[in-house]
Amino acid sequence: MENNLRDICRITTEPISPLALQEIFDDPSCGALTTFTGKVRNHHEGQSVKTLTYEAHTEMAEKILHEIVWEARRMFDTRRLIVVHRVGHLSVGETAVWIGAESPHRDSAFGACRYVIEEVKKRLPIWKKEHRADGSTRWMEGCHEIV
Amino acid sequence: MKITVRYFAHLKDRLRRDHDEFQVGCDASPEKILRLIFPETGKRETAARHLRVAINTDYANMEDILHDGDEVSFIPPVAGG
Repeated sequence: MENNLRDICRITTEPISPLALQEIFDDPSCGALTTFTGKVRNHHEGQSVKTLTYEAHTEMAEKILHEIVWEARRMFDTRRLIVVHRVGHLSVGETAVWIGAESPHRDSAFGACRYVIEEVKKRLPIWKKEHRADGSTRWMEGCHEIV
Repeated sequence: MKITVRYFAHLKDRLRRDHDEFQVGCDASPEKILRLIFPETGKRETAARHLRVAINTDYANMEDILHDGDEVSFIPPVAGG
């Protein structure tokens, strides 16, 4: 399983700049670039959220990112895929995950981008802990709280 | 043989550490490691609810046989993205 060397699959502790990542895409044969930005929002299931802490099994997560990108390439006609997921302590509004998919036509770009985020959410060994306005904290299980 | 075990998220918080090392026999499996961590059946069943396991960097099964130097990670339900 080998991905295109132009693909980027990374877990980072640094802030993500969507604009800087978008500028990497420069293939003149592609007419479509679809991006997804996953940000920290200020509420979840009726609770006010102040910050999120993301934790990862980094080596395994990057390996699975490469697998997901490899699968997306075989399902969709994409020329470059970039997936970056941040871990650490994030404030409301900060970017947690960014995906870019570049293709000759929009169907593949939309399809690849959607496929990647759905698989990231299902498979990546990453967890997030909510820090709520009332001072409580909770590890989240997908969309459900772990008690 | 030596096995390293890694914990994440709520399991890490519950155990108050992020890893352990065990010396185990050649018939060790993640399920047997879990019994060492949680000897009491009730606590083990509660802790293991919805847990997946990885051996090195691949998802695996609780009954898979381990090898010397393997790293076992207990994976709570994931919440990335």
